[in-house]
Amino acid sequence: MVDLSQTGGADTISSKTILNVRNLCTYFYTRQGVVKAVNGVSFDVKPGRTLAIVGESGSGKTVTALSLLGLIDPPGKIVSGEIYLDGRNLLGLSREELRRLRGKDMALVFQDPMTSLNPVFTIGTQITETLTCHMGIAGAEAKIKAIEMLKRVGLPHPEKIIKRYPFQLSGGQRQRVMIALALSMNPRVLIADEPTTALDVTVQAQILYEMRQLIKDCRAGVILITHDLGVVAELADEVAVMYAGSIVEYGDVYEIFDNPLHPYTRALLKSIPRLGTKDEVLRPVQGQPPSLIDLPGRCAFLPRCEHGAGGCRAGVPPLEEIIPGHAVACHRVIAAKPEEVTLRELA
Amino acid sequence: MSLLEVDGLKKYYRTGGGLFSTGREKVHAVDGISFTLEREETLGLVGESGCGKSTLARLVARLEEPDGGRVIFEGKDITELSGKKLQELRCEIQVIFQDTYSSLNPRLTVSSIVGEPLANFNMGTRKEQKERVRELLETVGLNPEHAARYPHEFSGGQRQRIGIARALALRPKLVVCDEPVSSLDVSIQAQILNLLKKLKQEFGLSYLFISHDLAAVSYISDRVAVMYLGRIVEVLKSRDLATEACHPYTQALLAAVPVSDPRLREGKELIVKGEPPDPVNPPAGCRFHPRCPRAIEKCRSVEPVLNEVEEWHQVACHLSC
Repeated sequence: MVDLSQTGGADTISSKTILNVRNLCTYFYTRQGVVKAVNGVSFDVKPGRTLAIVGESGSGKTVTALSLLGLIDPPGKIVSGEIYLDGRNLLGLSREELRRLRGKDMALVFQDPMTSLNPVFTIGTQITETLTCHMGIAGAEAKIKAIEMLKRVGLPHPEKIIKRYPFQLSGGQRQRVMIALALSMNPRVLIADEPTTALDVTVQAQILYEMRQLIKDCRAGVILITHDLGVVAELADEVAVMYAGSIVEYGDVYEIFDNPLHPYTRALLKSIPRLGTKDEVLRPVQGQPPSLIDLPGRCAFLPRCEHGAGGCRAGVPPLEEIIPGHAVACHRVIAAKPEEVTLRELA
Repeated sequence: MSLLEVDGLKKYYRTGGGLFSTGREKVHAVDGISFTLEREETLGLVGESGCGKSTLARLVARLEEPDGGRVIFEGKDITELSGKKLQELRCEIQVIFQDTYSSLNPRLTVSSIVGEPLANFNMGTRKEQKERVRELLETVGLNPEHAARYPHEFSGGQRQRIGIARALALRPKLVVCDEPVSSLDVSIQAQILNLLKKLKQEFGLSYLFISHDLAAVSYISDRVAVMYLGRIVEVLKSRDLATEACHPYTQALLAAVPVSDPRLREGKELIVKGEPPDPVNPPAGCRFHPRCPRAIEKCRSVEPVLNEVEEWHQVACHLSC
């Protein structure tokens, strides 16, 4: 566990964390049953570092992000867990306190910038409104700041852009506006939910490039939610792989790519086509992700696992640190000795 | 004889259809495209959104009327076909769409969706059609027991399999795949790509495979055509894509693909900046010159033509290697 007494005002030392999430459980109470969308998730976010949460649709990555921001509405409910931002437990805050915190201390960039920008206001109005609301800057001063923000995210002619409406901008420009808006408050934590999924590769490459610079400059802790391992490889420092509402592997990005331990992570890495490896056959993860209602009392990945064995039915595997800084939730990996594991004995 | 020959194909869309519009503005969606597709070949078509790749797919499948040029299928000019002749063509050319939510009728069961083409063309008796539907579902990896279910009961990947089964029902020779995996999860993408590869071998199909994902295209295709603002700028064998591509735009696309290993991200540089220009007023000369890092004076005035630089490799660039 993290010593929370150290986390306050620790924005200069990278080893200290801004956000600590412990054992977060968010369930949805539907007519069909209880959907355990997030089921005991723990992670830390450090300043200037990017934690990527990777997983398929329905693995609970977006619900995790929304839980952090207090944006879970009925029938959803955060059932248990702790979320500490700079040592303050967010789950104890009132709606009003949370509202003030959102956008200022914790900012969010959505996948679809068309629906997250208001279509009837100009870009300038939307940025200055945020500045007025959270920072008390208004009028000409806010306008200057807005232009400066747009310039920082690489938008050409920002003084023209602020007069435009969202529909007059391309997808890439809109996403840049969203990033500008999110970073204008100097947030402690930036949550980027599939920020480049809706964009073309060339535009994606530019936005990823700029995000890397901006993250370095603003020293916010970033949570990057994506299903694309390419984006993870471009941007992440740490990786949490989610499956069926739980983190199944957690570690440093180089470690995850060099030495993936969980069969699901391995399978994901093998299922992406790469350039220049045409004759290599893709090995997709067979089958479908499980339903989050009535999750079995065993490893949720077992039906799709290539290495499944009888022992895998013995309860849900815990997320255990196998190598320092590298944790995995797999009965077989935990049972094997770490040295054997690193030799890819399981492959 | 090639299976498909496209010659100088053009499609313009009028824009600004408002009350006071002059109606003279045209989007040059497909602006003079020529290529050939051999039998049992997969030709990949890549480009940014708005470059006209989906329009080209729709033109080839005759879902859209061209404004110029010809489409020749098995030696026959199909550009002007209509009525019964056009309907017959549907047996030969089928389409798989990107969005499985809008391309499958939510009120029909899977067996009606997959069986519809068979019923339209009176292929066999009711019983034979039913048997064929079962067989098709099995072929695409779905449980034939689920034939009575509705599309919403299936996941994205399974829905795409239903779309594939429907496309195969009439035993077509050419299948136009318009971004078939773009809306799917990575692990499911690989399943569908492998299924398409398997079906191609089993039934001797040819694909026109459209995607913005360079890695997926190079995995499934024999040759890749790169499109930019309504034109093809380079065509080459997909195994040469990473090493031999010489159009600056192709190189830029390759450089924009996310790295496969985090160690490769250090020192990565951007080749192109900005976004493609408006297809209503494409730039004079080479359409890529405003974004091209290597543009010379000639590029601003003279439009390059697609030239063969070596066998199976064509480039439209004044600098061509």
